[in-house]
Amino acid sequence: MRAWLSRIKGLWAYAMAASAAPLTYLLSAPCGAACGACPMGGACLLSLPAVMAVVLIAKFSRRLKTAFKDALS
Amino acid sequence: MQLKFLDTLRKNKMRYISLVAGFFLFVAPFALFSRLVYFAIGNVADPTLHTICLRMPIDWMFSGRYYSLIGSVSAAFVIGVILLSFFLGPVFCGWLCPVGAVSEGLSRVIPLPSKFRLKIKDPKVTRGLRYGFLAGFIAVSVFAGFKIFGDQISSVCCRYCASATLQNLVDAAFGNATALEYWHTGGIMVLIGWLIIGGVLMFGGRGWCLFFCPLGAMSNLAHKAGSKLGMYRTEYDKTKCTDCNSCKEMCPMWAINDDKSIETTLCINCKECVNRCPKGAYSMRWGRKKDAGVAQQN
Repeated sequence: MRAWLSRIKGLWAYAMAASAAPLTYLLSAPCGAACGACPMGGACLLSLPAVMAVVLIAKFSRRLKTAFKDALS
Repeated sequence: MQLKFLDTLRKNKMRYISLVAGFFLFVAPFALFSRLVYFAIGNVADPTLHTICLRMPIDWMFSGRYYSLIGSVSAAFVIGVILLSFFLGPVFCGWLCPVGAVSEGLSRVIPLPSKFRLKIKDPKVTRGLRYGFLAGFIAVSVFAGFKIFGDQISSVCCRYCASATLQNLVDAAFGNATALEYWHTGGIMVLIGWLIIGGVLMFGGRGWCLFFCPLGAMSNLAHKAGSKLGMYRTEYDKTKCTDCNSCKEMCPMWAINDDKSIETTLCINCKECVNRCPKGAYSMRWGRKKDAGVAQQN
């Protein structure tokens, strides 16, 4: 069962990663190499701190959940 | 922390010397290897890490631009790296690649506690993400090359290239002002993804190699095929293992499975596990497997 779950997780990761690259390229295709012409207008720069925040929140989510539970009880 | 770093440095000194040599061999203004090759074939262009691009030939291969492959130094280089991986494992990734060396070095030098570093525990998930990205990369090359979406996608892999970013950083350090033109948002995203998220914030500092390097992924596919046929590889002997998990802590590619066997689609033959294991449970080996005590590689 565990091996089966691990395989499903692996396939899910594969599908996510396989779709991420074409989507990223499609979204950013019109701007070519020139930042100024990018339709996102620099939003990608703003998205970086957001991505890092999501990464850190994911990392500490269990600790946060425990803290919330402790605070509520 | 400092003692652990020095111990790692001492045990793997040959690899770290080789990685430093890789920097001088491939990155301009030094680029000694590239200069030698250009001199030998009479190419008068200025060799940089970018001109022997490790990604474009993969893009050309799948986008139908086969004419670009003919006579190209970078194509010969990529094919050479993949062939080398078949026989000796991904030694270019583990022992020479300056891009992986810089992020791994940064990760080792910055004393960030382990609890702040990210790691995917299941190598199958890591493998899925790595080869999923490779599949996406190939799909984009096919879309662009055969104009499946018209001209909407052009060749964009240079915009997300850590090799170009490293070369431009070094160029800027040596006072080459033209390198500044490169700093568009794609370049900055790569810099943060490669050095901060993939380097400092990930165990082993090889996040970029693990998830975004098509050459690394293809090298590992060649290594998997080679190791099945008995080529040079890392092997695990479960009879010697004491489950101390020091191998898992050290592996920069997260290539050690729960049963401690090596995931050949991720392993770069860096020998960190071989040098770290106090009981010698890991060894480098040629030839087909005969010993029943040696775990089957995945």
